[in-house]
Amino acid sequence: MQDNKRAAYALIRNVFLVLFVVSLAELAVAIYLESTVLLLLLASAKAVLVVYYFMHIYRLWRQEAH
Amino acid sequence: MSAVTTHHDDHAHDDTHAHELPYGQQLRANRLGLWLFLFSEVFLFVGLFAARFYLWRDASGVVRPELDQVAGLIATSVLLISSYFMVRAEVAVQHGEQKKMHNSLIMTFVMGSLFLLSVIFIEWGVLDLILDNMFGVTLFAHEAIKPGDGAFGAVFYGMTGMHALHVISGLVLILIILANGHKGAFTEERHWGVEACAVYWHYVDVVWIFFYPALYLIGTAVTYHT
Amino acid sequence: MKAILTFTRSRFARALVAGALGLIVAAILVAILNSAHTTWVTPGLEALGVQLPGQLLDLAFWAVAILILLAIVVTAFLSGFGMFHSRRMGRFWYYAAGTALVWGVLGQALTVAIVLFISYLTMGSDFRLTDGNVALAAIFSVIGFLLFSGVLTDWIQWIFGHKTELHHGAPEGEPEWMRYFSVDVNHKVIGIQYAVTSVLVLLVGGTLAIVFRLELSAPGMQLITENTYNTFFSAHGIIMIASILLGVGAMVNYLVPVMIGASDMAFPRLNAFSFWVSIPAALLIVSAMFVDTGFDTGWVGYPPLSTVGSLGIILFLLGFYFNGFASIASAINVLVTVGVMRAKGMALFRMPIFVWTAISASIIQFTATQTVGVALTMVVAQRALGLGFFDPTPVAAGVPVGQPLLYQQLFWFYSHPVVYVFVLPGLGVISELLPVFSRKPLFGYKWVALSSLGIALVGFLVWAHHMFVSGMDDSLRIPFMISTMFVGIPTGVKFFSWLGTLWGGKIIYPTPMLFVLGAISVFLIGGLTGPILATVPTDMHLHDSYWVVGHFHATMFGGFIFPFFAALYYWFPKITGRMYNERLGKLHFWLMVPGFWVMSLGQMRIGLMGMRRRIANYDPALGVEGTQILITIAALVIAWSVLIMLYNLVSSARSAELAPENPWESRSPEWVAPTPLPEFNFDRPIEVVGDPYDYGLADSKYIQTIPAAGD
Ligand code: HEM
Ligand SMILES: [Cu+2]
Repeated sequence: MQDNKRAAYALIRNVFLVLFVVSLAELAVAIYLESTVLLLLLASAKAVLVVYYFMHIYRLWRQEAH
Repeated sequence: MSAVTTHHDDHAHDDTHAHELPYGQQLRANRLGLWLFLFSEVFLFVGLFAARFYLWRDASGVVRPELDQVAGLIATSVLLISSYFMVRAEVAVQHGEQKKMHNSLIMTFVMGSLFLLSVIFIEWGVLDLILDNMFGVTLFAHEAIKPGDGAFGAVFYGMTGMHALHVISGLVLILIILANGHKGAFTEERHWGVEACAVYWHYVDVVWIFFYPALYLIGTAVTYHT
Repeated sequence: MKAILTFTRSRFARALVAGALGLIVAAILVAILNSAHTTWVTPGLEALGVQLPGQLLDLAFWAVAILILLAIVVTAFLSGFGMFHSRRMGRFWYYAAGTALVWGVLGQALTVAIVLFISYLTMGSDFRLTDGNVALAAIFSVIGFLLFSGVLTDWIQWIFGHKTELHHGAPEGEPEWMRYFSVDVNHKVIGIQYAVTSVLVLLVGGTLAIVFRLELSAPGMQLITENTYNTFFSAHGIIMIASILLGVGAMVNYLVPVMIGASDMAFPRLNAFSFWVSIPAALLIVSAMFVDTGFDTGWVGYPPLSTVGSLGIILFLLGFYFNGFASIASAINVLVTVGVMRAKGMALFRMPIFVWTAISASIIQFTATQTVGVALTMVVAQRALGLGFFDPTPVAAGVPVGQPLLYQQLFWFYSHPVVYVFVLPGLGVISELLPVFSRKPLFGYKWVALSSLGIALVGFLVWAHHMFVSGMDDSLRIPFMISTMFVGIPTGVKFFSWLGTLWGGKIIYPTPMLFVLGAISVFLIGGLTGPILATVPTDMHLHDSYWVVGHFHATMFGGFIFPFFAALYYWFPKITGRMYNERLGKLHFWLMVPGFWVMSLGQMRIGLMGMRRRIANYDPALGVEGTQILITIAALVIAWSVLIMLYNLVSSARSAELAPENPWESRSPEWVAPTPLPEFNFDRPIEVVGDPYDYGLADSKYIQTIPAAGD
């Protein structure tokens, strides 16, 4: 249980860090590559991370135990 | 009209078939409903997003107004941090850590408010307007866009404004959750309120994830001085 | 919070509301008297040679008027306390003051007054109606309606951490019929509320149509001015659309939960909310006709006219917007209900076919509606806040400008798909009723089910066929022409299924079946004229002509109005427990269907001859006069036939003989359940054990009651 908890907190922290790094990368891409496609891809990647790890979309097709 | 009756005699309604749904089923319904609502709102934001690419064009291709990049990055980071605290609050309530949930929600609220303030005062230039009028100083390198600045003004205020409305409603939700959480309304097993608020808040963040590059990063910057 | 709630439920609050209602009614009465006084009494006396000292007559008039006003207000106020209860008038005020409707309307009026007053305080003597204060007043007025009508009460309680229970049955201390005027959460009550509102709104829209149809029966202007004409046809369009959306809400709300064996919708409070939002929205749309110079943009509200025209347009835009809001909420509710509330064994491909069309319509409703919301919001934002989305005026070097065409893209991205919201439930009714009346299984159930989804999805890819001549990029024409043609495929599936179901059946022809057949014939006219419009070269000529008017009236009547009427007749015995009058029903049919054919084909004919749409006057040289008169006569016949139906339904609901439990021998869950339907639809939970349309198959069972444990 305790481990479970620690893992849960660690997971969200790591996801957050990845999101942060990708955001900085976006700025770099905008300045140095000026690639619209890449920017939209990066944004989509961020969105997927948030939708999966923060919004837990998978709960939609999971039967609730309680 | 009185012939149009749905009778409600007591015998017609037995308890095996009560109308209040069992918690599990209600939770499924709530989740599905919330996600459908969010999916519906996708069309609102995509409409604005599409309008941005439809209007912010010139002969050379996609353009964007010259905006203050520092302000954009600050706003984006602050909202991301708020999202982190929000998911932290949810993990906390799942593990019965009420205090941690409470504190995380407060942090989310603070970060969310900071985002809102940065939108109003920096992006919309209200701060510069005030400083300029009162002290004659200009803080930010770029003059803020004004609503009347053609398609730049319309889309910029349309997108940030519609997003800000959602941020405000999210902040109100957080306040409600905070107050009810304080009264002990959420338990380890039953905390749909927190979950709903969190999902909504992250959604607002996701919208910004797309709006940020659309407004700040994509296209050739145009200096616009009207 | 508690204190406010207790106050609103007190006799005193009721008396106040009764008094306020009395004031409004009295004010209208006095206004009517006043105009009678100035137009008839004074000139009349003068004509008789009666010379009265200048102001004496006026003085007398106002004395009488004020007396009447006071009398009404005081009676109403006292009636609110329960006085005069033995008199009809007293009961009227008493009950009226207890309805959510009256509370809501007063709340709406009050909010408008408050917003305008605040605006007056800030503007001082320059006060006038502006884009800004009209928009604010309209937006807040909807909130005012909802707050006062009590739709939000439960949710507000939740915010403060109070749990509330769903209230079933009439409001405390009120008679049973008051449910229909109150915020009730039962899906059947809400369904009936939708149906009645829909028909009332239909009558308003229809009246407008009759007026301008009379105007069109001859060249030149005879009845109304050009401006009124514009307002009338614009209002007619949007009011009819509101009516159709309400009618769809009626059928979906009443039928879907029963048909899938559920006790109610998944979110009963949200369900009530959706219905009640559409009332202030409808009021905004109707009031748009009276503010400033009315509203003359047509139901599409294209800029630039909508961004610079009369203030009434703002009310129309916002009324439209809130209608969409209601539509989204109710669509989500339907989808979730079907998603999680189906009875045991109710697999997706075992649901009554109507449910499939309801889902498909809901999918369109809860997505596409948002984009028209964006478009409408943008127009209001341009007018009230100066955001120039559609304003092509150059600003400065390098700054792009707004484009009116953007509106059309966003608007049609919703408004083409929404035509399927109108017709899909109607087509569902056709598919639902045909097997019952031909006593045969529905032909190709799975294909029909999927064709609804197919129509919904393809419907999203065709919007620009409304913009072939709008100045959009030429290269888009061919792709949109082709994609539009694809809609014909799933629609064709439905037609063939109908034919296949009829083929070799033991058909009987009571009124609902007649209307179903009429619907098919009329929808065929609409469906065949569509591809002609979707073909770019022909559309160049036909666009904005009466051909288009003929086309879409045929689709809407065939796809919605006729099936809706069929549904009203068909489920009437379920709702009321009584049978409608068959002879009047048949009379209605034999007046309305030929009437409609004449009207629609006539419209197409004059369209081909060069008659433009949305125009009050026309050149006699067009040679369309004869057909115009014919169309007007047909319209009058249709209007009369609808009145016959209303008479039939109302009088039968009161006094006709009791209907058998399952007069159509249907297999569907709603007919197997008792009549009238119990509060939670089924006394005992049901289970699906067979297929829905196995008519004529011996020993086939669709549903059965699950025996209670221990039986
Ligand atoms: C076979 C399928 C259909 C095709 C191919 C089709 C095609 C078209 C086209 C191309 C137009 C534009 C004409 C113009 O303005 O020049 C049009 C207008 C219209 N259609 Fe259809 N249509 C179809 C079915 C429907 C259905 C099912 C409905 C409604 C229930 C409908 C309602 C309308 C309406 C309301 C308009 C006029 C909009 C306006 O300008 O105010 N159509 N149709
Ligand atoms: Cu269309």
